[in-house]
Amino acid sequence: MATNAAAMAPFAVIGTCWRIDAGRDKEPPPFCRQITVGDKEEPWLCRVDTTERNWLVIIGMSKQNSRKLPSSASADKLAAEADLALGLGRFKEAMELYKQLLKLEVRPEWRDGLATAYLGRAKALAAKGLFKEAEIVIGNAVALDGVVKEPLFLIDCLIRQGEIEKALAQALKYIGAETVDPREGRLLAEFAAALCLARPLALEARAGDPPARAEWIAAAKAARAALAGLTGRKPANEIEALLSEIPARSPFGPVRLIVRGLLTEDPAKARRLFDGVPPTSAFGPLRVAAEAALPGEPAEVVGRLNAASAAQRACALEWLGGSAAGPSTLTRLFEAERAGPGALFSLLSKPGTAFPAADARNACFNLLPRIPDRIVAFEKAFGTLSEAEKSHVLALAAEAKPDWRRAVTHWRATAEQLAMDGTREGPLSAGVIYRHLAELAVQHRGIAGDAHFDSPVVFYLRKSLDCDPDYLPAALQLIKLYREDGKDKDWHALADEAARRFPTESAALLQAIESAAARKAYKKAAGFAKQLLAVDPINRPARQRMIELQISQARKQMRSKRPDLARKELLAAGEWERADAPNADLRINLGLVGLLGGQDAEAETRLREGVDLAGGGAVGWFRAALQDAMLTTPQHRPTAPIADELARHLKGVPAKPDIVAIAGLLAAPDVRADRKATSQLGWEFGSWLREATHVAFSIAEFHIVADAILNAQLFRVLGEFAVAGKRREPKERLWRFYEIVARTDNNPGWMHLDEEDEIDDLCESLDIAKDRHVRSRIDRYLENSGDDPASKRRAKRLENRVSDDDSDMFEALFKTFLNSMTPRDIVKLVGTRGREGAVKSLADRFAELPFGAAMPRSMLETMARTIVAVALGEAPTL
Amino acid sequence: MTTDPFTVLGAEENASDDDIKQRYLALVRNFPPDREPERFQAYRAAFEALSTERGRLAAKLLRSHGAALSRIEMASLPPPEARRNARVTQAQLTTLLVEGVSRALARSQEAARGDVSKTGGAA
Repeated sequence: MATNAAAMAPFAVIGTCWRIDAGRDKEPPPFCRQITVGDKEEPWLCRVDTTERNWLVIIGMSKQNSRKLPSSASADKLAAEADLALGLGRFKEAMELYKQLLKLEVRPEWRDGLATAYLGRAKALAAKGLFKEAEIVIGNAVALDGVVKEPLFLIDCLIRQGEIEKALAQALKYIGAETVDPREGRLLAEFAAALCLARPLALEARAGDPPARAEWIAAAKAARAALAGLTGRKPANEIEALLSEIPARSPFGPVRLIVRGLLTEDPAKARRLFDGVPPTSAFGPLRVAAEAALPGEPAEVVGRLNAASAAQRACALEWLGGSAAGPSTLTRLFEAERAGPGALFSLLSKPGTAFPAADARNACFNLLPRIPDRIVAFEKAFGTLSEAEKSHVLALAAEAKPDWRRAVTHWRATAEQLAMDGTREGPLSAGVIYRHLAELAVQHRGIAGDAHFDSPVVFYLRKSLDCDPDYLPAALQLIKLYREDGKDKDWHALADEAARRFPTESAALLQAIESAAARKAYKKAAGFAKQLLAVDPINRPARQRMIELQISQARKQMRSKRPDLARKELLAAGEWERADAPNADLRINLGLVGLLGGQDAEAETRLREGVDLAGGGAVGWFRAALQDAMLTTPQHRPTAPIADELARHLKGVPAKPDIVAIAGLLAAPDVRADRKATSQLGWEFGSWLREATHVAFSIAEFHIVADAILNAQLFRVLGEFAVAGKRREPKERLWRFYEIVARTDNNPGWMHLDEEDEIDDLCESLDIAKDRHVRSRIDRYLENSGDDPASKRRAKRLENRVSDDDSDMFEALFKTFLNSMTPRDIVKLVGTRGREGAVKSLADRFAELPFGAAMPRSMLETMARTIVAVALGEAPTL
Repeated sequence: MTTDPFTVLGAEENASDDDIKQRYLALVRNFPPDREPERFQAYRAAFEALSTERGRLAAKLLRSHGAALSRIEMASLPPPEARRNARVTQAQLTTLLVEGVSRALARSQEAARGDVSKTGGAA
């Protein structure tokens, strides 16, 4: 990076680099852009470099303005120059100019200007930590008209010098005065209250004092007396009497609450009292200390003490009665904890300490992953570590780095040793570790598995089940992965195993049902469903599934020419039907089996009943036709009266609800699985749709219809719908997508280049809108071509474009920011807030920009610091 | 409050299911969710992490935990009866009060600068 910067001189490196999430392993094209943005007279000149892989780097920044010093002599010109210098935050220069002007004539505006310049200068000095000098400069401003323009700033300077009495005297000047604004007045009274309790400065009301001041002094005396009672261990009732003299609404009100909280025996009441003191007020640290000393859960008390500052903790320990014998063990532990794991380790492992040996060993062992170089010291102090313990420490240490390769090696070594340690806990621990590795493998690519397994996740889950076969969530996760990866043999074996091992777990039984159904082992699947219903009798989806499985089994029997067995199966399925929710498919199938077998007089009635339950009309008869097609062999002619009824209903002009309902039927999993039997009906539906191109589908409604049309391969019909949709909704780009799909006969390899661009743009806008559902629809189309080289080219282009887009986004944001800010604005900002304040303010503004959120704070500050330096005409600092 | 479940519940690393449950119920009895919802959330999360044997193993194996250190620190707390000897000095109070004023002043100066920068930004 530094070499790069040198080559780019006179630009300065203003940042290292940060990541814009462009995904992994994408190679953005190397380029470096120069941009000129901002005010025409004072432009910023920046370079943005994206040569780093996946990273954007700002290489440099410069500006083309120069600062001119005033040179004229006339009063008006001098005044203009003084105002300009003040506006630009060049306070020293402004001070000199105003002084010259005041020598010519004492004008109030010039005196005010000089006072403002003094104040600005004082703030600049304070920003550099020169508080004494700042106080002197404020004194010069006060000498002009006797007014302290910002008393809080002066008090701040005094306190930072340790001049508490002076600060108190300054704050006391404003008690009861009406010269400051109410907010500032409240703060001054609060600070005066806290400081007057900290320093016993004599307080006496004088004749002619405003009543507010007299009241304040009375409350101050009562508060001092109450605190003196507390430090002097006076009886609670005496202290209570003193507290009641403090008005609750006075600036000393917090003392009442804190001391009462300390006196009460009830921690809940004390907590309520402490809650009345804002932690951000001047009494906040006192409240925190008092709260830390509240009795409670030991772990909580320790946590509160640990979170407190050193002064708060010392005070809290006094209240707990713990520091009578010098610095407490607790304080030493906290200090060591703050100093880092090494210091804590040294303290705990020191020979001769009074810590319980077992706890000291465990505490040190838990520190080892952060200080693995202390393993030898640990063994010297506490005895040898086992191999499993050592690899455990090293695994955690590697993970913290993170060094995934080492982490995997050490975790696996730990798991292998634990699995063989002969205890009951050992294999369970190994299972935990392997599952952890599987989780890590999902998140990080650096986690390697085994050459014999395609996926490290599968490998580690398999290992975890080998060690701990009774952990159902791991089995379910592995089943899911096997299903997704198309590893049917492994899926079925594991699903059966899970059903055997967890016979009362619904999740395992559901997986077994799905697995058996996928193998067309409907009888077995129904057995699992029965088992599931025994565990969970009111499981409605399980009942529904049970009926579906028995219908599937009946279809199997029918194709084996056993209508008697099919009928038996369907009658058995009827047992699972709920009286309030009759099943349309079951009735239809019972009717069909009766008609085909010829032994059921009620068959046609049952069929029509089923059709009615399915909605009747075109939808009901289409459903019956689908069931018929799946029940019989493909050569079988449609069972009467289905053919006639369907033909009658498909004659009319299709209505939108019917089309959507039938498309939904064709999308059902069992229908899609039996395409051979149902393709003819799909084609008939598609032909029927030719009459429906006028129907005004919304794009959301049309997706499911499109699937049915595509399954029937009626691309011309799809094209007609897409053209009509585009005409209705020209702004809806998905109609264009369907037009492209129709034109290419659902083969993305036949797309033209401009069509590819359109699809790319569409994908991009879907990504921005986070519309994953439609995006996956487009992906399915794009993946249609499999290994088609054109498809691969397209994927490559998409990947490269992501990086381009990121840098475009960054550049646009950066431009927007600099366009709103000229170097003059930055100089003004330095004037009002001091250099560091300006840097902080700029960094805060960067952080609010979208790209800023992704950048480390140090980087933002470096960037801000360079911009300030450039604006002030200095050489940019690294 | 720490997020280490053993420390939050104040439980031993080798506690059983029952021990964890008893400890959790005792804490919930002392700090009911309607009165102390945040504290209850912390106890609940810690209980869920440790309520099973595998959960406890994961808490012990997969991250460094502070149960032992917490025990040492708790043992170092002054005994409850020591509160009778509690005595805070004026010097300690002074330190806290000056610390409070310093922090509050820094915050007010910071807020004032923020106001200026916002006004400047708007301009």
